[in-house]
Amino acid sequence: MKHVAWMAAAFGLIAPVCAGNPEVSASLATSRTPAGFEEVRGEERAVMTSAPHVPPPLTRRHATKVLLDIEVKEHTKLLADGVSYTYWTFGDDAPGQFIRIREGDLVQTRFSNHPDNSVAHNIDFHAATGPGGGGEASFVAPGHSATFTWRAVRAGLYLYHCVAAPAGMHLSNGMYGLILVEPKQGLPKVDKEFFIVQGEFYTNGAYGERGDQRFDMAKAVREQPEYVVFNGHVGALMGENALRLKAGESLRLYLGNAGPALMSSFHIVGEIFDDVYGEGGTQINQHNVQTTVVPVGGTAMVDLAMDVPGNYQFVDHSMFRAFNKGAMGALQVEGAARPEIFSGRQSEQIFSPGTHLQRVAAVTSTNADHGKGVYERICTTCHQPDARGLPGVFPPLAGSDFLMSDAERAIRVLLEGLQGPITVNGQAFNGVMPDFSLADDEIASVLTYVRSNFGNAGSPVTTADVQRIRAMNRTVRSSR
Amino acid sequence: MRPSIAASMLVLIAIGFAQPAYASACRAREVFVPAGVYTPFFKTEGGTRWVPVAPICLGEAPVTNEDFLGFIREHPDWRKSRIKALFAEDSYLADWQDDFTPQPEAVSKPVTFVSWFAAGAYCEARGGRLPTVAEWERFAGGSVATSQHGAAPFAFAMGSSAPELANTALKFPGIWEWTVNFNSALVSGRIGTSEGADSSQFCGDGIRAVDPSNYGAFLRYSFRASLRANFALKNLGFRCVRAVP
Repeated sequence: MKHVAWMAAAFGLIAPVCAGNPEVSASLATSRTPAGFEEVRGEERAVMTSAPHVPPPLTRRHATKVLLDIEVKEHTKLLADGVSYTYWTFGDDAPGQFIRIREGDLVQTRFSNHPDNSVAHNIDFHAATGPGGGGEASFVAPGHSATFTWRAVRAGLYLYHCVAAPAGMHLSNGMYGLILVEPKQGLPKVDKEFFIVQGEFYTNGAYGERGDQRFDMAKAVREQPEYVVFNGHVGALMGENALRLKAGESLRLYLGNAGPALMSSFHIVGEIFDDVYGEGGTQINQHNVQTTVVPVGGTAMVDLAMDVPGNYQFVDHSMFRAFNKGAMGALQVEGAARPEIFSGRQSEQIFSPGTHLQRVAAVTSTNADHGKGVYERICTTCHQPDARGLPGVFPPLAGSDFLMSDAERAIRVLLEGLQGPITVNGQAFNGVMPDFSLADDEIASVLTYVRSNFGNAGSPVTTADVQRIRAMNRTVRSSR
Repeated sequence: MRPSIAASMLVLIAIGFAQPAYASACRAREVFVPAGVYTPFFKTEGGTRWVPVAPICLGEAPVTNEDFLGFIREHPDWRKSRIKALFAEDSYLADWQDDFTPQPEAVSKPVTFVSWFAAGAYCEARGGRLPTVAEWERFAGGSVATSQHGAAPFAFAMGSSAPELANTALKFPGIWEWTVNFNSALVSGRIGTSEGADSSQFCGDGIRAVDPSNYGAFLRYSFRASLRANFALKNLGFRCVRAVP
């Protein structure tokens, strides 16, 4: 029945109308233990933590009455650098806090809608069994609160979210979080736990467009988000916010996907999940998994140990979401090198097979926007539309000393690609940039563009400059 | 179609189209809204997709604190110190310092923290009533656009003039507004006037929303569904309408 109500709500109408549920003080809330249920002893406030942190495992061995307070706020927050958005959040941020309870617990939920808010809100706990998961019971106007109680009948990892109409809009404004219902015997112990929820933002402006952005219903209906992010913001788990652990520590990630449109293919680049609790259930249903599906409106749990130290990216493997819409985070693993597992680069040689690949001459253009076009087509994927790169992963071009101090080197990078450690503005990078097989005039145009935009003020690069360097390279090669 | 609905529609058609109505009949600070047709957000029972709406004289802006103070002076039962709990919750006129003192800077701004009962009493005292949902949606549900915004969040959903009223003095300052039948359209289950059979019907209609991209309408219907008649909220005011004399 719950699903019928939910479906109706998902199509836009209000859950509260779908199953008239008079306000009753059910026997659920009384102290008498109904047949078939564990006795509920005592009461305590819900244990909750902000992303990406997870409360410690519960130590009690009995069911209790959990007092859970959730307040909805509509407020402006940063979605990405220079991009603000009016979030609707459970508590202070999206995702809402991680709630950890135990199978058999009675959860007395007080749901409050701040008086300054614009619209009515509610909460649907996927962990609850009952109409709307609490959608009707919690539906309140701004300046009101409602209380309802539900029993955590089933263990597992569950999403919670707002389901007031239009439900998709409430979800894509940030109204989601995770609740873990521990099985009675607990989950296997691990050294570290974090949680990650994927969600989408449908902004009126394109990805990265600066300024205050607003919800765009047309893009939402087409299921074409500008942003797909982990934990509510671009970069919420990157750079200084990367998840940190020691090599060899056991790690559990609690994964959720709020959608509202796109299935997630969660993948850690360079790591394999030891155990997967598929779809957030309580059973390990697969070992040795490279990528696990996190369905929209669903969850998954993965256990792993990072053996080899280093910086690891995790992504939604639908790659354009990762590199162009924000679905990327990082794990920073400290520890001693493990050459018996992974050597790193051992040597590098010139590769010269003695034959040439046939290339069709690139279409040339003298259009003034040529360089911009090349940049947007090729470079933004890594260096980002604002040319600021991604900290620790892709170096910036905006204000880059590496780019601006040596135009000839820049030409060579575009001709040949670049790999290995470099320092840009004092920050170390160690990545690979392929040679994109650009024509000479494309290289000239795009370098002129980046050297005179994004706050840079450098001299133009001409096609003749590129031809000269290309000829010089040929001479060097043939003389070897 | 139920006979009662059919009959009431005929009455509306008779009022709306059989008699000529003129803008000159409206008072100062009112806008004349000619007879017309409201296209409901949800298909109505029997599949009819339009509802005739009679001509009205419409308050050009929501009722202000100053206006409401005048009413309070004439009708002591609606003072915040005297109002019955049945007619307004504790937050009634919460931003007024006492029975006769709105915030000085808000005197000419819309009165909020007013219940449906109080709003209705005001309109009645001024010879009018609250608009129906159909009337309100017809004159103020003009914009589906995602780009129209005022100072308040979701101001576009809080009202923008119907195209034919675009050149009138009609104002929407970015608050929600009471309607006389706010709780009749979609909300029977939640409000507690249990009409069990009807609520499933409304869910079905929701799936067949006329325009699923009209999220301003979704927000309004959702907001109305969360209300009870004694609620007094920070961002909820009202304006009155009068039948054209």
